[in-house]
Amino acid sequence: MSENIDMKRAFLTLAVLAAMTLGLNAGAASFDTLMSDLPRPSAAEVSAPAPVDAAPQASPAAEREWLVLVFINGVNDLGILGFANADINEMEAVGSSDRLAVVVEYGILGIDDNLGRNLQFQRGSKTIFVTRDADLSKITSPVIFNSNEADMGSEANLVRFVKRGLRRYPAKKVAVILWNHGAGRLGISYDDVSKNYMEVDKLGAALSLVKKTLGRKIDVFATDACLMQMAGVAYEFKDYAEVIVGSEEEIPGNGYPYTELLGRLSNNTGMDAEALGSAMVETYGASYNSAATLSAIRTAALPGFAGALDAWVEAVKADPAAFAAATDAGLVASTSRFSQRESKDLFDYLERVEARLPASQPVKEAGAALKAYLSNDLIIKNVAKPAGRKPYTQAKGLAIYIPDSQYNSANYEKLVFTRDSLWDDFLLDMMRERLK
Amino acid sequence: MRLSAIAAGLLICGLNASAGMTAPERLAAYETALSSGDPLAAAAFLKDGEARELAEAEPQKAAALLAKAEALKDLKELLAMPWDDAKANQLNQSLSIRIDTDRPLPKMGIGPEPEKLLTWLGKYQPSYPATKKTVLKKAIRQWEVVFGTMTDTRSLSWGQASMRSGQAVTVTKSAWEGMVIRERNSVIEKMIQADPKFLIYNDERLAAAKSDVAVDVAVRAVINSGALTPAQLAQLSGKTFTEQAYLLGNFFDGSDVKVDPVLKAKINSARGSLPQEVLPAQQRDLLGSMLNTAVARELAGTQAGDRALAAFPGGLKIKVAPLSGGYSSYDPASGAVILDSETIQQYMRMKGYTANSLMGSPAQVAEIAKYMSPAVVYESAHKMQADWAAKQGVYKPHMQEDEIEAMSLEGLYTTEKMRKDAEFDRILTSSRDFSSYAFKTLEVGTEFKTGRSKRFATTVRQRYFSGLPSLDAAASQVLGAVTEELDRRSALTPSEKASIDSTGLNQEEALEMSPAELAGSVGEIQTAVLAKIQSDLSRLGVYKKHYNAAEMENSKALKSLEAGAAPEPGAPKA
Repeated sequence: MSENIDMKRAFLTLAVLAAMTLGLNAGAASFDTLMSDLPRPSAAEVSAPAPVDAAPQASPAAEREWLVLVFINGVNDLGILGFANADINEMEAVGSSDRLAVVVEYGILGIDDNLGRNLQFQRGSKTIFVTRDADLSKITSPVIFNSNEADMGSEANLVRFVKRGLRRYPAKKVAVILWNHGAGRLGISYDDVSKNYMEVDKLGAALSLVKKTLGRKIDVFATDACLMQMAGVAYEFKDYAEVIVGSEEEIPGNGYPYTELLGRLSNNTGMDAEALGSAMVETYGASYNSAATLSAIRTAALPGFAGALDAWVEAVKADPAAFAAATDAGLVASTSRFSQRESKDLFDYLERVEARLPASQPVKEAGAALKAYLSNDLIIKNVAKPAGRKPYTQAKGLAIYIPDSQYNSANYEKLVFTRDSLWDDFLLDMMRERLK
Repeated sequence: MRLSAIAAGLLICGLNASAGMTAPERLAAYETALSSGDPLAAAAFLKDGEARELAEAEPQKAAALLAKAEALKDLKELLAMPWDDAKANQLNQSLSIRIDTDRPLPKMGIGPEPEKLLTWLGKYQPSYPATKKTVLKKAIRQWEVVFGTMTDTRSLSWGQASMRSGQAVTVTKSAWEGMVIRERNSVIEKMIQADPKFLIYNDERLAAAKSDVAVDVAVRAVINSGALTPAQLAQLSGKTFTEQAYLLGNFFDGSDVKVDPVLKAKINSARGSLPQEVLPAQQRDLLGSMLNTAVARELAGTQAGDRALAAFPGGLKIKVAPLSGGYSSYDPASGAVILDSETIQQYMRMKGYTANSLMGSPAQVAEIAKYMSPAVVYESAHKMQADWAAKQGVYKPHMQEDEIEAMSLEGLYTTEKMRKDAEFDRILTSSRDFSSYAFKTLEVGTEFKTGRSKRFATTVRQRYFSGLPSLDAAASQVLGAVTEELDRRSALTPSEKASIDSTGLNQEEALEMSPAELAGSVGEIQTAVLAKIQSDLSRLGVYKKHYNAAEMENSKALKSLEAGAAPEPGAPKA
């Protein structure tokens, strides 16, 4: 698989940025400014799915082991560049079976051909039951539902898709993959026609509805989108999924290696949620030589993580020297960061604070405990390839919001994490230091 | 042949020509005329009780006709509103939700290609003013209006499909002519990123850009005023104006910077919150509970306020939280009014309050209660609507009529408070130039007071909620889609129908959908639920009775208020 091609970074419109900035309506950089000289993507030209059969199944199939639901929002540049079609073709190399069902919600923008590159609107989305074929240039899987009003930036549409999949293809275990641009704590799934996107708190509420339908947590919730593996984001979903898979850094346009991933799952449908999360990380890591990060998180450990983080914050606040180190602008600036500059690797940050302090400090102990918790309890699997041209120096599996100078209350205070942890209080203290 | 002649008669003479026709003849004529989008026939059909009763013999046909007639009536009323160039983007939003694929109007030849609207207008509204036609062309983003004599957009960067990577896209004039309005708008959004001259097609972004310029000018004025120390100037050096505004807020707060109070207020209102001005979750919870009492005190004794309080028999339930757009919302699940914490923080910035000072000061809380009380009244109307819909058990999506009712109640409240409460007047008026919330609140009050119900309703539809469907638009869209689906189902085998009904979306799920969502999901909604929704929307009188009652009550209350404000000589005190 080629690498370093276009990223599933969030291409935020000015309107979206306006809603996200602090008080003023400008000043935040678009992701365009973070990228430069990207090589041409290598996705093959493919056709859209052919048969349209909106008729329901006569009766629901027998319960399978796994149902993998992939919500592909290509109503943006990712669709135009062919990544959505390429990924569905990768899925078709494996297809569904009597033990595994792969279902895709497919909404894209496209172009008519390679010469004219005339823009084409698909209008609405299609639900595709992925079947096996050997043709990597053509999507042949049947369409099981057409929605002409689909808004791929709508959480409600995501929920309807998931419920549709659950109704038609019941399974013992369920994975939901959200495929699009991601902007970490700022949101995911940007639809360029509706101009909507999913905010993290709204997505959490949507996943709670899925849990209600399912009667239990989703087994795996994964984001095939940039920058989503952040503490505040994962914490929002903790009650609705057993395992959360996501990337601290951007994800290349080709995204997850679906043939390899589904191939492994198809060969071993007995794997549980954690095993599938690990498989996602491993196959992804094997697909890229550089500039790739991905981790799987055990959500049951997130409350414990918040507790360990709080213990560290309290220890820091009780120690003026530690507080000075932890809030030092230089230290924060040197911390391993990702393409969204206020998203830092938590592990690296803790180590840098620790390195500033003498031995046997309570902060060091709290830091060691937190790092141990991250490694042993929270993070099931992590992969971090050499950064290449990316800004990170270390990626241990969980990023956290540390602003440079201004705390974005309009966005961050929406997250449950701020209610349940002391991290936001610590950030506000840090921002106070910046103003001195 | 005879039917065509009758239909032609309807077209030319409207109701008069149908006077000598029998009900079956009229019904047949309506069917023909509505298929071609005749708005006169639509109006006649909606008033022709006998023909409608006759149509009910075939409920599916009756519902389909009603959907068409409501859509045409709605379009006619929309275009009859006072549109000028300044409102072209609002008309764009209104048309975008009506003239799209799978909507009722295209099924009558009015779309989905937007230019078909012009053809329809020429046929059925030949006297439509030329100036309004010009606005209409801008609203539908006619190619010549947007691009002039160009034949294509040449290379257009679309995110990473960029000119730089050699993967830009092209939009030709002929492709444009096949696009629906929302697709055209999405292309224009990309054009805006490349060329600010296209900002004229997005009011929100244009306003934001102008606001940024105004704040930038204010920041420059303070920097050049000589009021800042060299150390402060050094801190500002090299920063974006967003950062500069934030830092200036800190200087205002922490030192004795002497600047024009207007500049100060402008910067403080526009900048981000300083750490001490942020309301964390626990303080928001506390503020919410304090506001329950303080806002209730504000509302009591006013006509609109008392009605708002009556909507919460167990007492007000206010929460404070950051919202995504808007100053407030009503959450039916919890029955709470949510006030936007960012709007409150903005007020705190303007007044120099901190989170701690607010928590410790009943006076500051009372001030916030006065400031935000119109928003609570506004949301109380949404609660009344949700309660009404639940009691009636009908499908009631969010529609313009809801907003007309809510804004009327808010306007009534603001009007009365402005007259009776000098402190309320002072707080809102002094904030008007710096807070879009205060500006909007006062504007709604003024519009309600001076506009009377019909003009006020038009203002709400055009200025504030042009992208929201009217009752007629929503009903026609859903009714059309539901009826088509029920027709399709009638041809399915029993097992196919049973499959949908056993696994399809249930009533609770369907009633939560917007008209667009529901119309797009009819294929997976249980048959009984579709029939229920069809029945609901075939009886629009139930909805109209509710909204008319609210309108009458608000009008009556305003009249009594005015009578009380300017009593006749010798008249008893109100």
